[in-house]
Amino acid sequence: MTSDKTRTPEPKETAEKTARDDVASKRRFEGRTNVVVASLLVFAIVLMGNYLSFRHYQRWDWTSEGVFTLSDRTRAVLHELDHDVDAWLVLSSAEPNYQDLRELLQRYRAESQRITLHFVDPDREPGEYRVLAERLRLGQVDLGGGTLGSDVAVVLESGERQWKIGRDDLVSVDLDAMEQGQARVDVRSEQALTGGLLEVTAGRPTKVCITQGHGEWTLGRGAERDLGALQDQMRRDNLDIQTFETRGAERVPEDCDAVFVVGPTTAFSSAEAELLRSYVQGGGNLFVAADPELRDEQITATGLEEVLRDFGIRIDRSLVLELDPRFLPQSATSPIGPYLVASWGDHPITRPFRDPPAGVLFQIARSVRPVDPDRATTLLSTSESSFAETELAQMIQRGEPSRDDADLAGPVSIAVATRVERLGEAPEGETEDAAEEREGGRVVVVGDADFLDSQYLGLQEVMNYELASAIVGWLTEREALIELPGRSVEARPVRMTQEDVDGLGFRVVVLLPAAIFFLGFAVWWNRRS
Amino acid sequence: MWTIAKREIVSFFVSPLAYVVLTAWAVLMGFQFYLLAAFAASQPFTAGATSESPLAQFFGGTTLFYLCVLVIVPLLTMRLIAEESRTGTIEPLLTAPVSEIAIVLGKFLAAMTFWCALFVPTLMYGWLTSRFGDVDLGALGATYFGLFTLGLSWMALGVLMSAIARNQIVAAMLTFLAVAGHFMIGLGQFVFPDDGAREIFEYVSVWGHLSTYATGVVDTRYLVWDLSITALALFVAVRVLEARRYEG
Repeated sequence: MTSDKTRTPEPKETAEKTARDDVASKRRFEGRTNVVVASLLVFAIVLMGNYLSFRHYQRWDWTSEGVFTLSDRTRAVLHELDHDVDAWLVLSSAEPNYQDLRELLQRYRAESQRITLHFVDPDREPGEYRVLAERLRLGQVDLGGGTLGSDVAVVLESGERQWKIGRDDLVSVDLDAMEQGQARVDVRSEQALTGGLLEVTAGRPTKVCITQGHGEWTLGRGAERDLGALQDQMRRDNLDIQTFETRGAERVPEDCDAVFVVGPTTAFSSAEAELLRSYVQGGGNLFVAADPELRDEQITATGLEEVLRDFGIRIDRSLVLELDPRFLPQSATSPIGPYLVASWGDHPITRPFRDPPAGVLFQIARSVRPVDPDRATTLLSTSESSFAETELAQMIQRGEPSRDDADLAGPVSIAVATRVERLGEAPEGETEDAAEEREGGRVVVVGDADFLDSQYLGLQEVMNYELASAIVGWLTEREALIELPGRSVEARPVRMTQEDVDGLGFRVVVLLPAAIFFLGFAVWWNRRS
Repeated sequence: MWTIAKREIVSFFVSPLAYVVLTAWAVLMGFQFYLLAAFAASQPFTAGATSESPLAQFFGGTTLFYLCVLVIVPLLTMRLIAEESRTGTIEPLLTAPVSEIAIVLGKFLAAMTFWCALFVPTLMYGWLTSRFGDVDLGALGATYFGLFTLGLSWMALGVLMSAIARNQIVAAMLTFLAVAGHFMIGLGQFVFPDDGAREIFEYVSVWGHLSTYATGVVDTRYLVWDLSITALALFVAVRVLEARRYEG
């Protein structure tokens, strides 16, 4: 007799069980395969979606003041980019501006795929930073506290062209406002970045040609009349500088974006003057700094008077005398100079200096005026008390200035800027944009070259350096740097005393958690009862 | 779906354990905020409405914040489905006239409610900061939006792991591995000098995402990434439950 427990299953039962197991196993396998295959399919779709999102994305600025919203001008520049640009952020991530600047660069990248971003942190990647610093020639400066580092924050690179943006070009904090409990942070990062982009993607480097052959100021340092400081400044602005001998030249070199005539002591020939006229009328830009050179008790001619008059600027053979003692430095009391000039005209060059009015130190100046105020703009004028002496021989004989009817009454214009019409007649039905394109060059004339002296450019309390920079910027047609508005972000700084901090700590570490705990206790008590 | 979500939410908020967890969370977050505020107070200048403000630093600017979040996510999600599996209530649930999608979405909705509840107390930090300096409400809104999207992806991962695992502990460990892995991969942006690789790591970096949101910027890439993880995790969770129904 065989019990049920030891009963051997009938072959039919075994077959049924095996069949059931097979079906269950098959269903399990099918179910799992279904999960895997469907998941892989959805994963592939998600991957494709992310690839597209990675390539084409938007960044929305939700900040109250739109700190990260790019201006229309910048967006237009980015959409028109036709060169690839590498942007290197070489700040330490511990620096206060790092996050905001990084964000701004990301927004540039979001607008244009031409831009590739690189972030090199000098603290975290010192090796890579050193290699990069050498390649990009970042240089080293004392950052304070004995720390040596570069004052360059961003480098833009397109092909062989580079543009460096320093820390000071990005953000400045208004300390006066801070003392009044407000923090005003002027964000100039966008201005600097967009200007740099324009610079590195323009057809070729901007070149300034300095005329030689008429006793002009020389390049380099050491000479009595040298342009060493101005030269250093232009190099920092990534400008190429070369000298240009006008005597015997048939044309101004084609790659000269601006010609500088600084302090000639002898006159240009009419052929040379015509050379410069053609250059400007053909779209070239001209800067003339004409010292009042005395010879035989008369101011000598520069040879450029007629050409400049045709451009709308009159160079007088007069000497500007400043009689208002407020504009004379304490150490110098002569009205001939040096003196401060602080009355600014309305022009893109002068905008940074007008409010509050800042002064520029001039050595000895002649008057330079617009022939017609509609055609040219006075950049700088002396005070109401000043005048321009036209009869120098009489003044020298008398030994002191004496104002008469022939003299020019103050304020006397000593710096003028204008834009020149291009040669040739305008075609019929020319649009405004086309007319703008057809405009000739830009001309700035200053009645003194000494304001560019290295000694004056180095003075912190006057604006000689800044004025020179603004003139160079306008003449080399980089006014995008000037015209892009900076942003002013106002925010009340976080100010807490130790008592405030302790009070805050008590609220967030004790009171708030205690409130949550008692809420939980109340719920528990309620349920329990 | 709503019934399931409501059941989960009620069972969570009537549990004393939930309040113990929330209290501990509030203490940790509060202490961290207190440290940042004390640091800001010691600085000569900290603008209130910038990325340097204690509020912007608090959300995603410190490691402690992420440590707390990485620990709390598994605690919030581990029991959602795994507990049903352990107690055997998953079988009647799967045979009930309710779809797997409704089950998963209901659980996910509940998890998101827990997640949002975690950050409700931090609203007070904004109010407190505004008493001592300016607070950029736009940036604060972007920050909470970023936290919400991060919550979507990590809660979805938690739901998935809870669906895969058969008990809470395993679910918690799997969830921790998933979210910590996600977090760690993003740290590659600080490790890899190569720009191409770094850009990819930045794309997935939780740290980078929250830091960006904290400055007031909302990036569609981060949004797409978080929504992708959410959709993928929830989809797989639904499929896992379907497979379990097949398995009987």
